[in-house]
Amino acid sequence: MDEHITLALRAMRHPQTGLAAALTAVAPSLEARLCAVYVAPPGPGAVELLAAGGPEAERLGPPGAVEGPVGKMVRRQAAETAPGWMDTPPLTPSPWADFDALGHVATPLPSGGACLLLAGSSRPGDPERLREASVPVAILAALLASSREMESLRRQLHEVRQSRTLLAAGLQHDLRTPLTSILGCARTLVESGQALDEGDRVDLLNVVATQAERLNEMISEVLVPDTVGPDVPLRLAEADVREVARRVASAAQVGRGGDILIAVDDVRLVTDVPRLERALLNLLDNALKYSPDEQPVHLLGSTTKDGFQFVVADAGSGVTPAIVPTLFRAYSTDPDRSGGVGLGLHSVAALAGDLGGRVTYWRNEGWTRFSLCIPDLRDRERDEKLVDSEVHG
Amino acid sequence: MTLAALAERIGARDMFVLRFVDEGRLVNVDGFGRGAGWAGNLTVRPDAESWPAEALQAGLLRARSGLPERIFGPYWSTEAVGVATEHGLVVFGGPGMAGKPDELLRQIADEAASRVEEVPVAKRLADELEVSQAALAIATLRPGDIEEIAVEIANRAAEALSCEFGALLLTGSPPRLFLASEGWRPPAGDEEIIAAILPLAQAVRDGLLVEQDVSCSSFPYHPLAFDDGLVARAVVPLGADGKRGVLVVAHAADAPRGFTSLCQRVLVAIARATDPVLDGALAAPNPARA
Repeated sequence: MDEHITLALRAMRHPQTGLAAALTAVAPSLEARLCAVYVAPPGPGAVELLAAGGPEAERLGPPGAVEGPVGKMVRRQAAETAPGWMDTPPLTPSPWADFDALGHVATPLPSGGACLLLAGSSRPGDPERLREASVPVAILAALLASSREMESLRRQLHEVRQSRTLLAAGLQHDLRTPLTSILGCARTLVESGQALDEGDRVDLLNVVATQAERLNEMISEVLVPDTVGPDVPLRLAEADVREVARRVASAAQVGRGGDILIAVDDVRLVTDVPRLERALLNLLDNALKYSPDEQPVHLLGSTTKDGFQFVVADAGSGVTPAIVPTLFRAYSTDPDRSGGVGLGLHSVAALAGDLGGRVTYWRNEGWTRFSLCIPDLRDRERDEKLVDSEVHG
Repeated sequence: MTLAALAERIGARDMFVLRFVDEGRLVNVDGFGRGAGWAGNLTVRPDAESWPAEALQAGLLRARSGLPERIFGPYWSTEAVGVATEHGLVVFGGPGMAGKPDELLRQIADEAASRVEEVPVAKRLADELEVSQAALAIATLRPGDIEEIAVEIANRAAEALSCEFGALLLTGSPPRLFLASEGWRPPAGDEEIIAAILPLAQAVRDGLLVEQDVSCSSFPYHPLAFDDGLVARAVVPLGADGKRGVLVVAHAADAPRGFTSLCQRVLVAIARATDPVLDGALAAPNPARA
């Protein structure tokens, strides 16, 4: 067991892997066929399965958010302060119901909430051994929680910076038109106001008033609270995908210059539009940055069986093959490509994950392609509306 | 017209002729490309796989994505079309397939389905030979020290299954890792790779573990996860109840595919042949320790 624990702690670059390795070490000592570590957050967020071990680990499925009866059971056990074994209570959800005894140890985490070690066995084991086993597991769970929190803060910081850039680019683009109109009218009034008749002067003043109102509305929109962030829930709405593509391409061009050719299917999709826009903007900005001069960037979009796929393609030299496996991790930078701190693609991957999708990279026939596949969240939107209407009567 | 000519007529890189052998089971009896190579070694259960089930229900189903994704069983492609026929399903895969007209697809599918009923006998014999040769390649390894032998087993397993990654983990204190000399390798140290394999080693003690799509794995642990560049993985225990260790083979994203039943048989045969070879290597005196 000690050897595996050492290995688990040595794999701290990947705390989740270390946690899984630690569970493989504790499972035999607890005579458990299934061991798992869950995190119950302090607030109302979903319980998360961090890792599983033991001969039946596959039964729990992929780590990630856990809802329903298992989530409720974990919340209950995570609040239990005394560790120990219990006979599996009636109505315990599957797969935990298949074991005669359940061992449980909850450990409060520095970041709030608690991690819960659950062990399923054919008979109750030694509570002291259970407590001992929980120590390395809790340390690794705390490490994992801390590294995630750190990553989340880094991402927020990156998003704040990106918001500023996006805002500046958007303002430059959106404000120029009304300001040009206002300036033009004002100059005409100053320079030739005396020569104009009353009707023309009123017309020009009306243009100034209308455009000023438009500016005012834009400023109000800009000042609404941040609509994207890792802790902000999805805001689902039906969107015209082609229109979204045009809008983002326009913002990207203002920011960096260059041509973008758009060929996007004319469909409507339910998604979180601000998140989608931010992900696409990142990809387009990257493509414009690395695309050779005079070579346009392509933004393609088509429906798939599960939703929609955007492809951003540029004729640049692509990513150094050695870093492809870690391309979407935070701070993954390509020594052969200049600039950047390695957060852009990480942010895209996180946003794609938020949207229930995935971003992937591949290169062929001289084209560097990033594909962003997202599902149509129409069903989820309907379910949420249903819950909302039930809650609010 | 041969199956190859039919596939060529529609421009398919791969064609699978899947035929119902009982109510809930389709078998790939022949085809073209991977469909021919995997004939007799691919069973599809529509109640367990959504894409073939939808294709059978809809009559004709298209899949298209920018990157290869798993269509059914071990088959990955960027584009595929499934066409229901009288006795089963015909699947066309390869670039451009999703844009082919319905009528042509149905016509070729019906014609292909009418031409085959059983897996060719020569193909069955060739498969048996492949299993035996894979086991023989291990059994006839020249005696050597454990380092050489274990790396050579990983090499031969990866080669026999055309995998980009092969690893042999000997459990014990401490666990020892031996990686195939060529192919995909994660940018990580041995201890990190061992930590990622340990949960698999524990979960596989009851038999073979096959993950046709690592993106939805129960063991998504870096540096051997989908995000690291692996798409499909198979793990087989070594020794009684996996007490000796495990052999891991995987396909990388550069050549996405899973493991057919023949691949799985080959892997099990290799694992069985490995036990006595490892026994010999572990029992042999090690000059380095003398």
